[in-house]
Amino acid sequence: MMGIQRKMSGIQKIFLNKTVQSWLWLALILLVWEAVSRAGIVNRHILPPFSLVLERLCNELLTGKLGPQICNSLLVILQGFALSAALAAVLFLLCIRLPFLTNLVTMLCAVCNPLPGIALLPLIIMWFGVSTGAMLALIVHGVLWALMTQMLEGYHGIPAVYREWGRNINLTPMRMLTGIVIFAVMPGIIAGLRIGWGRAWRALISAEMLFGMIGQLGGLGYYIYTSRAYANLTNVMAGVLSIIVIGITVESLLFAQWEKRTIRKWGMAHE
Amino acid sequence: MNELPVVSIQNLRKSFTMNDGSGLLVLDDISLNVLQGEMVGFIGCSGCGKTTLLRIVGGFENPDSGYVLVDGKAHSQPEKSVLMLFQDLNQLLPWKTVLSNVTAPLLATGAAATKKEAESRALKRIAEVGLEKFAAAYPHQISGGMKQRAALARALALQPRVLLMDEPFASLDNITRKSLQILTRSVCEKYGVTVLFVTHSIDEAVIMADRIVVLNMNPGSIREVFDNSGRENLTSAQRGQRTGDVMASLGMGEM
Repeated sequence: MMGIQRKMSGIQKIFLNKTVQSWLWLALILLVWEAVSRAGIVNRHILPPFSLVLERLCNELLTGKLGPQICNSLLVILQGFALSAALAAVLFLLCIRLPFLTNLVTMLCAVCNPLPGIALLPLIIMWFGVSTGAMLALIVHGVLWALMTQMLEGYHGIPAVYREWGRNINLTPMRMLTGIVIFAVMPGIIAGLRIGWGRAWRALISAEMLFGMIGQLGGLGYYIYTSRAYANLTNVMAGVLSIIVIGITVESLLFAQWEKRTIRKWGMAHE
Repeated sequence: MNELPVVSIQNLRKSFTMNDGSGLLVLDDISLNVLQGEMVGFIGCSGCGKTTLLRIVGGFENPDSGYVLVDGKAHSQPEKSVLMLFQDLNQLLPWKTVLSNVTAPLLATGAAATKKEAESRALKRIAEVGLEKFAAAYPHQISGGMKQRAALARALALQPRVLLMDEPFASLDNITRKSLQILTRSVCEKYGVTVLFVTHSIDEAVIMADRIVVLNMNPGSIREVFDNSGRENLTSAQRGQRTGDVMASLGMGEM
Protein backbone atom coordinates (compact mmCIF):
# COMPACT_ATOMS: atom_id res chain seq x y z
CA MET A 1 0.00 0.00 0.00
CA MET A 2 1.37 3.34 -1.03
CA GLY A 3 1.16 6.08 1.53
CA ILE A 4 1.75 9.74 1.04
CA GLN A 5 4.19 10.98 3.59
CA ARG A 6 5.13 14.58 3.97
CA LYS A 7 8.57 15.07 5.33
CA MET A 8 8.67 17.93 7.78
CA SER A 9 11.72 20.10 8.09
CA GLY A 10 13.29 20.71 11.51
CA ILE A 11 11.93 24.27 11.62
CA GLN A 12 8.38 23.09 10.79
CA LYS A 13 8.58 20.56 13.63
CA ILE A 14 9.67 23.28 16.07
CA PHE A 15 6.77 25.54 14.99
CA LEU A 16 4.26 22.71 15.41
CA ASN A 17 5.39 22.11 19.00
CA LYS A 18 2.57 23.32 21.29
CA THR A 19 4.88 24.85 23.90
CA VAL A 20 6.88 26.71 21.25
CA GLN A 21 3.61 27.94 19.72
CA SER A 22 2.41 29.25 23.11
CA TRP A 23 5.66 31.14 23.68
CA LEU A 24 5.56 32.55 20.17
CA TRP A 25 2.00 33.83 20.65
CA LEU A 26 3.00 35.38 23.99
CA ALA A 27 6.03 37.04 22.39
CA LEU A 28 3.83 38.42 19.61
CA ILE A 29 1.30 39.87 22.07
CA LEU A 30 4.08 41.51 24.10
CA LEU A 31 5.64 42.93 20.91
CA VAL A 32 2.31 44.40 19.82
CA TRP A 33 1.80 45.82 23.32
CA GLU A 34 5.27 47.40 23.26
CA ALA A 35 4.81 48.78 19.74
CA VAL A 36 1.34 50.22 20.40
CA SER A 37 2.58 52.01 23.52
CA ARG A 38 5.89 53.24 22.06
CA ALA A 39 4.26 54.44 18.85
CA GLY A 40 1.85 56.53 20.93
CA ILE A 41 -1.24 54.80 19.50
CA VAL A 42 -2.39 54.52 23.12
CA ASN A 43 -1.31 57.03 25.75
CA ARG A 44 1.76 55.71 27.64
CA HIS A 45 0.20 56.72 30.97
CA ILE A 46 -2.76 54.48 30.25
CA LEU A 47 -0.78 51.65 28.66
CA PRO A 48 2.89 51.78 29.67
CA PRO A 49 5.22 49.77 27.41
CA PHE A 50 5.88 46.19 28.49
CA SER A 51 9.61 46.84 28.86
CA LEU A 52 8.87 49.66 31.33
CA VAL A 53 6.49 47.43 33.33
CA LEU A 54 9.12 44.68 33.43
CA GLU A 55 11.79 47.15 34.50
CA ARG A 56 9.49 48.52 37.21
CA LEU A 57 8.69 45.01 38.42
CA CYS A 58 12.40 44.24 38.76
CA ASN A 59 13.01 47.57 40.54
CA GLU A 60 10.13 47.06 42.95
CA LEU A 61 11.40 43.59 43.74
CA LEU A 62 15.00 44.76 44.18
CA THR A 63 14.05 47.70 46.39
CA GLY A 64 11.95 45.41 48.60
CA LYS A 65 8.62 47.15 47.94
CA LEU A 66 6.85 44.33 46.15
CA GLY A 67 8.55 41.21 47.57
CA PRO A 68 7.04 41.44 51.09
CA GLN A 69 3.59 42.08 49.61
CA ILE A 70 3.88 38.97 47.42
CA CYS A 71 5.12 36.93 50.40
CA ASN A 72 2.23 38.23 52.50
CA SER A 73 -0.35 37.16 49.89
CA LEU A 74 1.32 33.78 49.39
CA LEU A 75 1.47 33.17 53.13
CA VAL A 76 -2.25 33.86 53.53
CA ILE A 77 -3.13 31.69 50.56
CA LEU A 78 -0.89 28.88 51.84
CA GLN A 79 -2.60 28.99 55.25
CA GLY A 80 -5.99 28.99 53.53
CA PHE A 81 -5.00 26.02 51.40
CA ALA A 82 -3.69 24.06 54.38
CA LEU A 83 -6.92 24.77 56.29
CA SER A 84 -9.06 23.78 53.27
CA ALA A 85 -7.10 20.57 52.71
CA ALA A 86 -7.45 19.62 56.39
CA LEU A 87 -11.20 20.35 56.37
CA ALA A 88 -11.66 18.44 53.10
CA ALA A 89 -9.76 15.44 54.50
CA VAL A 90 -11.96 15.38 57.65
CA LEU A 91 -15.20 15.80 55.65
CA PHE A 92 -14.11 13.14 53.16
CA LEU A 93 -13.31 10.63 55.91
CA LEU A 94 -16.64 11.36 57.59
CA CYS A 95 -18.47 10.81 54.30
CA ILE A 96 -16.74 7.46 53.83
CA ARG A 97 -17.45 6.28 57.37
CA LEU A 98 -20.95 7.75 57.64
CA PRO A 99 -22.50 7.49 54.15
CA PHE A 100 -25.64 9.41 55.20
CA LEU A 101 -23.41 12.51 55.54
CA THR A 102 -22.47 12.24 51.86
CA ASN A 103 -25.86 13.58 50.78
CA LEU A 104 -25.51 16.57 53.10
CA VAL A 105 -21.99 17.37 51.89
CA THR A 106 -22.99 16.86 48.24
CA MET A 107 -25.92 19.23 48.75
CA LEU A 108 -23.65 21.82 50.43
CA CYS A 109 -21.19 21.50 47.54
CA ALA A 110 -23.97 21.99 44.99
CA VAL A 111 -25.15 25.13 46.82
CA CYS A 112 -21.80 26.68 47.75
CA ASN A 113 -19.56 25.67 44.83
CA PRO A 114 -21.09 28.04 42.24
CA LEU A 115 -21.29 30.91 44.74
CA PRO A 116 -18.53 33.50 44.05
CA GLY A 117 -16.55 34.20 47.22
CA ILE A 118 -16.74 37.92 46.65
CA ALA A 119 -20.55 37.73 46.94
CA LEU A 120 -20.08 36.44 50.48
CA LEU A 121 -17.66 39.20 51.40
CA PRO A 122 -20.21 41.41 53.23
CA LEU A 123 -21.26 38.45 55.37
CA ILE A 124 -17.68 37.38 55.97
CA ILE A 125 -16.74 40.91 57.07
CA MET A 126 -19.67 40.91 59.49
CA TRP A 127 -18.69 37.54 60.92
CA PHE A 128 -14.90 37.81 60.94
CA GLY A 129 -14.28 41.56 60.74
CA VAL A 130 -11.66 43.05 58.44
CA SER A 131 -8.99 40.56 59.39
CA THR A 132 -6.79 37.76 58.15
CA GLY A 133 -9.51 35.44 59.41
CA ALA A 134 -11.89 36.91 56.82
CA MET A 135 -9.28 36.34 54.08
CA LEU A 136 -8.89 32.74 55.20
CA ALA A 137 -12.66 32.22 55.21
CA LEU A 138 -12.80 33.54 51.66
CA ILE A 139 -10.00 31.20 50.53
CA VAL A 140 -11.52 28.20 52.30
CA HIS A 141 -14.82 28.93 50.55
CA GLY A 142 -13.02 29.03 47.19
CA VAL A 143 -11.07 25.82 47.71
CA LEU A 144 -13.13 23.55 49.97
CA TRP A 145 -16.28 23.04 47.88
CA ALA A 146 -14.42 22.57 44.61
CA LEU A 147 -12.08 20.08 46.28
CA MET A 148 -14.90 18.18 48.01
CA THR A 149 -16.95 18.01 44.79
CA GLN A 150 -14.04 16.54 42.86
CA MET A 151 -13.03 14.15 45.65
CA LEU A 152 -16.56 12.81 46.13
CA GLU A 153 -17.02 12.38 42.38
CA GLY A 154 -13.70 10.52 42.30
CA TYR A 155 -14.72 8.36 45.26
CA HIS A 156 -18.05 7.35 43.72
CA GLY A 157 -16.26 6.65 40.45
CA ILE A 158 -13.79 4.15 41.93
CA PRO A 159 -14.18 0.98 39.83
CA ALA A 160 -16.08 -1.68 41.79
CA VAL A 161 -13.41 -4.21 40.85
CA TYR A 162 -10.83 -2.42 43.07
CA ARG A 163 -13.15 -2.57 46.09
CA GLU A 164 -14.06 -6.20 45.43
CA TRP A 165 -10.41 -7.14 45.12
CA GLY A 166 -9.76 -5.33 48.41
CA ARG A 167 -12.64 -7.22 50.04
CA ASN A 168 -11.39 -10.47 48.55
CA ILE A 169 -7.97 -10.19 50.18
CA ASN A 170 -9.60 -8.95 53.41
CA LEU A 171 -8.06 -5.47 53.44
CA THR A 172 -8.85 -3.52 56.60
CA PRO A 173 -10.78 -0.23 56.09
CA MET A 174 -7.57 1.66 56.85
CA ARG A 175 -5.58 -0.28 54.23
CA MET A 176 -8.45 0.15 51.78
CA LEU A 177 -8.21 3.92 52.37
CA THR A 178 -4.43 4.25 52.21
CA GLY A 179 -3.88 1.61 49.53
CA ILE A 180 -6.78 2.16 47.17
CA VAL A 181 -9.07 5.12 47.87
CA ILE A 182 -6.44 7.87 48.17
CA PHE A 183 -4.78 6.83 44.91
CA ALA A 184 -8.05 6.31 43.09
CA VAL A 185 -9.29 9.81 43.99
CA MET A 186 -5.95 11.45 43.16
CA PRO A 187 -7.24 12.85 39.82
CA GLY A 188 -10.08 14.49 41.78
CA ILE A 189 -7.72 15.88 44.43
CA ILE A 190 -5.47 17.46 41.80
CA ALA A 191 -8.41 18.83 39.77
CA GLY A 192 -10.08 20.20 42.93
CA LEU A 193 -6.93 21.91 44.20
CA ARG A 194 -6.28 23.34 40.74
CA ILE A 195 -9.77 24.85 40.54
CA GLY A 196 -9.49 25.96 44.18
CA TRP A 197 -6.13 27.62 43.55
CA GLY A 198 -7.56 29.78 40.77
CA ARG A 199 -10.59 30.76 42.83
CA ALA A 200 -8.65 31.40 46.02
CA TRP A 201 -6.09 33.56 44.25
CA ARG A 202 -8.82 35.68 42.65
CA ALA A 203 -10.79 35.97 45.90
CA LEU A 204 -7.68 36.92 47.87
CA ILE A 205 -6.57 39.67 45.49
CA SER A 206 -10.12 41.08 45.40
CA ALA A 207 -10.38 41.00 49.19
CA GLU A 208 -6.98 42.64 49.62
CA MET A 209 -8.10 45.45 47.34
CA LEU A 210 -11.35 45.94 49.24
CA PHE A 211 -10.00 45.48 52.76
CA GLY A 212 -7.01 47.76 52.44
CA MET A 213 -4.06 47.14 54.72
CA ILE A 214 -4.37 44.46 57.37
CA GLY A 215 -1.46 44.44 59.79
CA GLN A 216 1.80 45.89 58.50
CA LEU A 217 1.28 44.75 54.92
CA GLY A 218 -1.70 44.52 52.64
CA GLY A 219 -0.59 41.94 50.11
CA LEU A 220 -0.48 42.14 46.33
CA GLY A 221 -4.07 43.30 45.99
CA TYR A 222 -3.40 46.21 48.35
CA TYR A 223 -0.23 47.07 46.40
CA ILE A 224 -2.21 47.21 43.13
CA TYR A 225 -5.01 49.19 44.74
CA THR A 226 -2.75 51.85 46.25
CA SER A 227 -0.79 52.12 42.99
CA ARG A 228 -4.07 52.84 41.20
CA ALA A 229 -4.95 55.47 43.84
CA TYR A 230 -1.72 57.29 42.90
CA ALA A 231 -2.54 56.79 39.19
CA ASN A 232 0.70 54.82 38.85
CA LEU A 233 -0.39 52.41 36.13
CA THR A 234 3.13 51.09 35.60
CA ASN A 235 3.12 49.81 39.18
CA VAL A 236 -0.42 48.46 38.76
CA MET A 237 0.75 46.49 35.74
CA ALA A 238 3.90 45.34 37.57
CA GLY A 239 1.58 43.97 40.27
CA VAL A 240 -0.69 42.30 37.72
CA LEU A 241 2.36 40.84 35.95
CA SER A 242 3.59 39.35 39.21
CA ILE A 243 0.15 37.73 39.71
CA ILE A 244 0.40 36.17 36.24
CA VAL A 245 3.97 34.96 36.86
CA ILE A 246 2.99 33.43 40.23
CA GLY A 247 -0.07 31.75 38.61
CA ILE A 248 2.00 30.23 35.82
CA THR A 249 4.76 29.18 38.23
CA VAL A 250 2.35 27.42 40.60
CA GLU A 251 0.62 25.72 37.66
CA SER A 252 3.78 24.52 35.96
CA LEU A 253 5.91 23.76 39.03
CA LEU A 254 3.27 22.39 41.36
CA PHE A 255 0.17 21.10 39.60
CA ALA A 256 1.69 20.09 36.25
CA GLN A 257 4.61 18.33 37.96
CA TRP A 258 2.36 16.63 40.49
CA GLU A 259 0.10 15.45 37.67
CA LYS A 260 3.06 14.29 35.56
CA ARG A 261 4.62 12.32 38.42
CA THR A 262 1.36 10.67 39.47
CA ILE A 263 -1.82 10.34 37.42
CA ARG A 264 -0.19 10.95 34.03
CA LYS A 265 2.47 8.35 34.80
CA TRP A 266 -0.25 5.92 35.91
CA GLY A 267 -2.42 6.51 32.83
CA MET A 268 -5.21 7.99 34.97
CA ALA A 269 -5.19 11.55 33.60
CA HIS A 270 -8.13 12.64 31.46
CA GLU A 271 -6.84 13.95 28.16
CA MET B 1 -6.57 -36.89 43.51
CA ASN B 2 -7.84 -36.47 47.07
CA GLU B 3 -11.52 -37.48 47.19
CA LEU B 4 -12.58 -34.95 49.85
CA PRO B 5 -14.23 -32.00 48.12
CA VAL B 6 -12.46 -28.67 48.46
CA VAL B 7 -15.60 -26.81 47.43
CA SER B 8 -18.99 -28.18 48.31
CA ILE B 9 -22.01 -26.32 46.94
CA GLN B 10 -25.24 -27.50 48.57
CA ASN B 11 -28.78 -26.70 47.41
CA LEU B 12 -28.05 -23.09 46.51
CA ARG B 13 -31.05 -20.96 45.77
CA LYS B 14 -30.91 -17.25 44.97
CA SER B 15 -33.47 -14.73 43.81
CA PHE B 16 -33.31 -11.01 43.11
CA THR B 17 -36.02 -8.44 43.75
CA MET B 18 -37.04 -6.66 40.56
CA ASN B 19 -37.98 -2.96 40.28
CA ASP B 20 -41.71 -3.80 40.45
CA GLY B 21 -41.15 -5.65 43.74
CA SER B 22 -41.54 -9.11 42.26
CA GLY B 23 -38.90 -11.77 42.89
CA LEU B 24 -36.84 -13.35 40.12
CA LEU B 25 -35.44 -16.78 40.90
CA VAL B 26 -31.94 -16.85 39.44
CA LEU B 27 -30.48 -20.05 40.85
CA ASP B 28 -32.44 -23.06 41.95
CA ASP B 29 -31.12 -26.03 43.89
CA ILE B 30 -27.52 -26.04 42.72
CA SER B 31 -25.41 -28.73 44.32
CA LEU B 32 -21.91 -29.73 43.27
CA ASN B 33 -18.73 -31.02 44.86
CA VAL B 34 -15.39 -29.92 43.45
CA LEU B 35 -12.30 -31.94 44.28
CA GLN B 36 -8.78 -30.82 45.09
CA GLY B 37 -6.98 -29.55 41.98
CA GLU B 38 -10.04 -30.00 39.80
CA MET B 39 -10.97 -27.41 37.19
CA VAL B 40 -14.71 -27.05 36.69
CA GLY B 41 -16.19 -24.92 33.94
CA PHE B 42 -19.75 -23.54 34.12
CA ILE B 43 -21.40 -22.86 30.80
CA GLY B 44 -24.83 -21.59 29.92
CA CYS B 45 -26.71 -18.87 28.12
CA SER B 46 -26.40 -15.20 29.16
CA GLY B 47 -28.47 -14.50 32.26
CA CYS B 48 -28.55 -18.12 33.49
CA GLY B 49 -26.90 -17.12 36.78
CA LYS B 50 -23.32 -18.28 36.14
CA THR B 51 -21.73 -15.13 37.53
CA THR B 52 -24.14 -15.04 40.50
CA LEU B 53 -23.19 -18.62 41.31
CA LEU B 54 -19.49 -17.75 41.22
CA ARG B 55 -20.05 -14.65 43.35
CA ILE B 56 -21.89 -16.73 45.96
CA VAL B 57 -19.05 -19.26 46.02
CA GLY B 58 -16.64 -16.31 46.44
CA GLY B 59 -18.69 -14.94 49.36
CA PHE B 60 -19.53 -11.71 47.48
CA GLU B 61 -23.25 -12.52 47.56
CA ASN B 62 -25.33 -14.50 50.03
CA PRO B 63 -27.73 -17.22 48.86
CA ASP B 64 -31.40 -17.24 49.92
CA SER B 65 -30.90 -20.83 51.02
CA GLY B 66 -28.25 -23.48 50.72
CA TYR B 67 -24.57 -23.04 51.56
CA VAL B 68 -21.02 -23.29 50.33
CA LEU B 69 -18.32 -25.18 52.18
CA VAL B 70 -14.63 -24.73 51.50
CA ASP B 71 -12.51 -27.49 53.03
CA GLY B 72 -15.54 -28.43 55.08
CA LYS B 73 -16.02 -24.96 56.59
CA ALA B 74 -18.87 -22.57 55.81
CA HIS B 75 -17.81 -19.90 53.36
CA SER B 76 -20.04 -16.82 53.27
CA GLN B 77 -17.59 -13.91 53.19
CA PRO B 78 -14.78 -13.14 50.73
CA GLU B 79 -11.51 -14.64 51.90
CA LYS B 80 -8.02 -14.61 50.51
CA SER B 81 -8.01 -18.42 50.29
CA VAL B 82 -10.78 -18.20 47.67
CA LEU B 83 -9.68 -15.60 45.14
CA MET B 84 -11.64 -14.17 42.26
CA LEU B 85 -10.10 -13.35 38.88
CA PHE B 86 -12.44 -10.79 37.36
CA GLN B 87 -13.49 -10.33 33.76
CA ASP B 88 -12.53 -6.64 33.89
CA LEU B 89 -9.27 -6.07 32.05
CA ASN B 90 -8.63 -3.09 34.34
CA GLN B 91 -8.61 -4.99 37.61
CA LEU B 92 -4.95 -4.20 38.33
CA LEU B 93 -4.30 -1.05 40.36
CA PRO B 94 -3.14 1.52 37.78
CA TRP B 95 -0.86 3.37 40.20
CA LYS B 96 1.24 0.28 40.80
CA THR B 97 3.66 -1.42 38.45
CA VAL B 98 3.09 -5.08 37.58
CA LEU B 99 5.60 -6.04 40.27
CA SER B 100 3.97 -3.80 42.89
CA ASN B 101 0.53 -5.13 41.97
CA VAL B 102 1.70 -8.65 42.74
CA THR B 103 3.74 -7.60 45.78
CA ALA B 104 1.05 -5.43 47.40
CA PRO B 105 -1.36 -8.21 48.48
CA LEU B 106 1.52 -10.25 49.86
CA LEU B 107 2.51 -7.37 52.12
CA ALA B 108 -1.05 -6.23 52.91
CA THR B 109 -2.15 -9.68 54.04
CA GLY B 110 1.06 -10.51 55.87
CA ALA B 111 1.74 -13.40 53.48
CA ALA B 112 5.28 -12.07 53.16
CA ALA B 113 7.12 -10.64 56.13
CA THR B 114 9.42 -8.29 54.26
CA LYS B 115 9.28 -6.32 51.03
CA LYS B 116 12.30 -8.29 49.79
CA GLU B 117 10.58 -11.61 50.38
CA ALA B 118 7.37 -10.34 48.75
CA GLU B 119 9.26 -9.12 45.68
CA SER B 120 11.17 -12.36 45.35
CA ARG B 121 7.92 -14.37 45.45
CA ALA B 122 6.16 -11.93 43.16
CA LEU B 123 8.95 -12.06 40.57
CA LYS B 124 8.70 -15.87 40.44
CA ARG B 125 4.95 -15.72 39.74
CA ILE B 126 5.47 -12.94 37.19
CA ALA B 127 8.09 -15.05 35.41
CA GLU B 128 5.71 -18.03 35.40
CA VAL B 129 3.13 -16.03 33.48
CA GLY B 130 5.81 -14.77 31.08
CA LEU B 131 5.84 -11.14 32.16
CA GLU B 132 9.35 -10.86 33.60
CA LYS B 133 10.29 -8.17 31.07
CA PHE B 134 7.24 -6.12 32.04
CA ALA B 135 7.59 -6.23 35.83
CA ALA B 136 8.39 -2.50 35.93
CA ALA B 137 5.57 -1.52 33.54
CA TYR B 138 2.37 0.17 34.64
CA PRO B 139 -0.91 -1.55 33.67
CA HIS B 140 -1.76 1.10 31.05
CA GLN B 141 1.50 0.30 29.29
CA ILE B 142 0.69 -3.38 28.68
CA SER B 143 -1.91 -5.20 26.58
CA GLY B 144 -5.19 -6.69 27.82
CA GLY B 145 -3.78 -10.23 27.71
CA MET B 146 -0.73 -9.15 29.71
CA LYS B 147 -2.99 -7.49 32.28
CA GLN B 148 -4.89 -10.76 32.77
CA ARG B 149 -1.58 -12.64 33.07
CA ALA B 150 -0.49 -10.15 35.74
CA ALA B 151 -3.84 -10.55 37.53
CA LEU B 152 -3.32 -14.32 37.44
CA ALA B 153 0.18 -13.90 38.90
CA ARG B 154 -1.24 -11.61 41.59
CA ALA B 155 -3.85 -14.21 42.53
CA LEU B 156 -1.42 -17.16 42.49
CA ALA B 157 1.14 -15.27 44.60
CA LEU B 158 -1.26 -15.55 47.54
CA GLN B 159 -1.38 -19.33 47.11
CA PRO B 160 -5.17 -19.59 47.15
CA ARG B 161 -6.99 -22.87 47.77
CA VAL B 162 -9.61 -21.98 45.21
CA LEU B 163 -9.48 -19.69 42.19
CA LEU B 164 -12.74 -18.37 40.77
CA MET B 165 -12.62 -16.99 37.26
CA ASP B 166 -15.51 -14.98 35.84
CA GLU B 167 -15.03 -15.08 32.06
CA PRO B 168 -11.48 -13.84 32.53
CA PHE B 169 -10.52 -14.06 28.87
CA ALA B 170 -13.81 -12.89 27.35
CA SER B 171 -12.51 -9.56 26.10
CA LEU B 172 -9.36 -10.94 24.49
CA ASP B 173 -8.58 -11.93 20.92
CA ASN B 174 -8.54 -15.62 19.99
CA ILE B 175 -4.78 -16.12 19.94
CA THR B 176 -4.23 -14.43 23.31
CA ARG B 177 -7.20 -16.32 24.69
CA LYS B 178 -5.83 -19.71 23.64
CA SER B 179 -2.39 -19.02 25.11
CA LEU B 180 -3.94 -17.83 28.38
CA GLN B 181 -6.17 -20.91 28.61
CA ILE B 182 -3.12 -23.16 28.33
CA LEU B 183 -1.08 -21.02 30.71
CA THR B 184 -3.83 -20.86 33.35
CA ARG B 185 -4.37 -24.59 33.14
CA SER B 186 -0.67 -25.35 33.58
CA VAL B 187 0.08 -22.96 36.46
CA CYS B 188 -3.06 -23.94 38.37
CA GLU B 189 -2.15 -27.62 37.91
CA LYS B 190 1.37 -26.90 39.11
CA TYR B 191 0.13 -25.41 42.39
CA GLY B 192 -2.81 -27.78 42.81
CA VAL B 193 -5.27 -24.88 42.82
CA THR B 194 -8.93 -25.84 42.55
CA VAL B 195 -10.56 -23.74 39.86
CA LEU B 196 -14.19 -22.87 39.16
CA PHE B 197 -14.68 -20.78 36.06
CA VAL B 198 -17.52 -19.33 34.09
CA THR B 199 -17.38 -19.10 30.33
CA HIS B 200 -19.50 -18.46 27.27
CA SER B 201 -17.12 -20.41 25.10
CA ILE B 202 -17.68 -24.14 24.67
CA ASP B 203 -14.15 -24.45 23.24
CA GLU B 204 -12.72 -22.83 26.34
CA ALA B 205 -14.63 -25.23 28.59
CA VAL B 206 -13.47 -28.25 26.55
CA ILE B 207 -9.83 -27.09 26.56
CA MET B 208 -9.62 -26.15 30.25
CA ALA B 209 -12.16 -28.00 32.36
CA ASP B 210 -11.99 -31.44 33.96
CA ARG B 211 -15.75 -31.26 34.25
CA ILE B 212 -18.15 -29.07 32.32
CA VAL B 213 -21.35 -28.04 34.08
CA VAL B 214 -24.14 -26.99 31.70
CA LEU B 215 -26.68 -24.68 33.35
CA ASN B 216 -30.37 -24.30 32.55
CA MET B 217 -31.88 -20.89 32.18
CA ASN B 218 -34.70 -19.25 34.22
CA PRO B 219 -33.96 -20.34 36.83
CA GLY B 220 -30.32 -21.44 36.60
CA SER B 221 -29.99 -25.05 37.58
CA ILE B 222 -27.63 -27.85 36.63
CA ARG B 223 -28.79 -29.48 33.39
CA GLU B 224 -25.87 -31.82 32.78
CA VAL B 225 -22.34 -32.43 34.00
CA PHE B 226 -19.82 -33.67 31.42
CA ASP B 227 -16.73 -35.56 32.45
CA ASN B 228 -13.97 -33.96 30.39
CA SER B 229 -11.03 -35.81 31.92
CA GLY B 230 -8.34 -36.87 29.51
CA ARG B 231 -9.04 -33.79 27.41
CA GLU B 232 -5.30 -33.32 26.67
CA ASN B 233 -5.17 -36.67 24.84
CA LEU B 234 -8.25 -36.14 22.70
CA THR B 235 -7.90 -36.22 18.93
CA SER B 236 -9.43 -33.27 17.11
CA ALA B 237 -12.34 -35.52 16.07
CA GLN B 238 -12.97 -36.55 19.69
CA ARG B 239 -12.70 -32.92 20.80
CA GLY B 240 -15.21 -32.00 18.11
CA GLN B 241 -17.52 -34.75 19.34
CA ARG B 242 -17.27 -33.50 22.94
CA THR B 243 -17.92 -29.91 21.83
CA GLY B 244 -20.94 -31.22 19.92
CA ASP B 245 -22.22 -33.01 23.03
CA VAL B 246 -22.01 -29.81 25.10
CA MET B 247 -23.67 -27.85 22.29
CA ALA B 248 -26.48 -30.37 22.13
CA SER B 249 -26.94 -30.13 25.89
CA LEU B 250 -27.16 -26.34 25.56
CA GLY B 251 -29.87 -26.82 22.96
CA MET B 252 -27.65 -25.73 20.09
CA GLY B 253 -27.68 -29.10 18.36
CA GLU B 254 -29.54 -28.03 15.27
CA MET B 255 -27.45 -24.92 14.71
